[in-house]
Amino acid sequence: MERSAVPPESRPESSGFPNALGAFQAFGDMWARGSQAFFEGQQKWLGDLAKATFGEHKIAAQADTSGFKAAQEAYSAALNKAMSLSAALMKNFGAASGGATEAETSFLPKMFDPQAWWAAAPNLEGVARLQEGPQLADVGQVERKFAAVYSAMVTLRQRSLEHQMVMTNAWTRAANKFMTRLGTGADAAKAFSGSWRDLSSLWIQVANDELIATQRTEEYLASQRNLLKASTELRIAQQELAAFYSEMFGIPTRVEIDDVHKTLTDLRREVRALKRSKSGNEDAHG
Amino acid sequence: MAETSTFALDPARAFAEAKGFSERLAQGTKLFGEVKDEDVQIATTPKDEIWRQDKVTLYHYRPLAERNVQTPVLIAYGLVGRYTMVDLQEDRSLVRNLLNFGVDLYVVDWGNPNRADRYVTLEDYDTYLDECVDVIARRHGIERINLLGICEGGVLTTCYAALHPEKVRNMVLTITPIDFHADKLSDRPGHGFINVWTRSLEAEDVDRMIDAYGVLPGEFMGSVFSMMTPMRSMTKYNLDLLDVVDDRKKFLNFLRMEKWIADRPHHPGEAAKQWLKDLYQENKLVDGTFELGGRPVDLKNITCPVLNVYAKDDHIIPPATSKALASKVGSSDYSELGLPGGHVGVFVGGKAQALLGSGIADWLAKRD
Repeated sequence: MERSAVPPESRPESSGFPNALGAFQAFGDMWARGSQAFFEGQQKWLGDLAKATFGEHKIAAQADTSGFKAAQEAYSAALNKAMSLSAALMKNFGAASGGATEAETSFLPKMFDPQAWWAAAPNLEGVARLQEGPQLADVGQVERKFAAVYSAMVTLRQRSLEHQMVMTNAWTRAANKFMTRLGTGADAAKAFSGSWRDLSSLWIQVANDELIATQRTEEYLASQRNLLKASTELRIAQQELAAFYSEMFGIPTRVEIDDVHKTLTDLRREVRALKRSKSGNEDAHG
Repeated sequence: MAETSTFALDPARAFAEAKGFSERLAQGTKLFGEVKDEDVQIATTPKDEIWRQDKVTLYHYRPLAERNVQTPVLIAYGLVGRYTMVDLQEDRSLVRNLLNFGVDLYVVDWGNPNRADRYVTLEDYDTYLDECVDVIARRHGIERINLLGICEGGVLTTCYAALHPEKVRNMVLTITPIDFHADKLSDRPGHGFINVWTRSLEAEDVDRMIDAYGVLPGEFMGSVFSMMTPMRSMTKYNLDLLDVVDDRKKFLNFLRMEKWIADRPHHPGEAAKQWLKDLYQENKLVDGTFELGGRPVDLKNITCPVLNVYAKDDHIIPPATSKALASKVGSSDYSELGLPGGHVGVFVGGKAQALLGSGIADWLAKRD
């Protein structure tokens, strides 16, 4: 059954700007159907992963996912709110965009897409990249280490949702301010001149101000810190799992390689000191 | 929900925008097809390698004009980013500007540290810097040289001048943080976010991150910098690019900057701990408790002439964090030069980079 969080009256209508609006509509539809499916999918994925990792009878004992579910629910509410607002924006853009080309406005969906803010929260990109590590393999032989990885993954997804909620709420605030300024503010005349560049510039300014203000809040900083911490802990759990297999197959572990690097750094220091000492003696003796 | 309206449309303006966009896009598409990577070169000013140790390389730039400042200058960039910023392109190059003013110029390249360099510390970089200074001094038969530190390289330079004052003739700092908590003195939106963000972490968070990754990953620092200009990252490759894509010169400038940004090295892990915990979090440099190799870095030991250059709109190193040196340094010859622009703009911005080169060269010439 199709679910929609966007009320029919807020859904974008077709206009003389079919391509870009189509993209907006696609986003709207995706959000409308996607929020519930997203969370169902998340839960199914985590459930499947847990089953594959621990078997049916062990799942409940391995990780506490209640925090994750709470984060899902809170995030779902924030996202639905943003979706409604975004749909209203899309509707107005549909009326405003006649005359522009598809290529000219192809970036607009991204600019007005709340989800783009997660990707544009650059720390998330960095964290996402950092969390790449060894894949789960040889299930069943090192349950405790797998459990640690699984638990760290659940925690990371929870922290990620919590941070996305902060960003989504910021997007909603920015979108509200943007629409207020378009409707009643001093920028109305300029924005209404029919220039999509003017509209884009106004959105960038409003959104940038809101994001920068958000970044200074305790809520944002705390969610950033928690996300970073969860990402780090997952990486460490993955490395400990990898170390188990490295030892099993006689491959140097990360700890052993770090130890070699430390020794090498110490030896380089000694060599430098000896060279300088030798050079100093030669200078002293002409 | 906020009040909404349906936007009225100016057909003539919309048509003109669409037409202009189409023309720019056509020209841009042609440019994209023509430009090759070899057209996007940075750091092209001729130079010669004169010394190398571990991953550190010392270069000497070939002169472009008659020497006007006899004492050689060593440029030290930080470990976040590469020194190539000071020689981004021919008409936006601090290096070329200084060479054209007759400055004898050296630069130290810290190389590309990776996880193998996890245990390299700021003490090690002080030693590398000392080696470079000795090599240059021997080449010129002198005891003291001029130092030009940039950002984190400015902190390394400051520490060096405090620990080895007998080897520094003059010290020039650019966009260098000294008081890492002075960002609190200003409430300019978006300024000093790295200071705020770093203080929001626990020391343990930094330790665990270095345990996990071995370095402070370049991509990670890049993402933190991007976070400071949040909407820019969303418009960079559409609106910003659209504005330059029909002009070959502007387009190449854009690509050169991209090339520099993409070349972001990892920061050695133990040195990163010192940078983030001792300096950003605990602010040890300004209160005199920062130590390198067991020796306290006392800023009062810096008695050589000091020129402290800051960017008035620097959102990464807010001016107050740089200007704090004035009351801490031991020198009686201390000057400040505030330039228009931001952290990078001061080096590549049309007006600022010209003022930067001439300002430094004039200041050095008077103290040569």
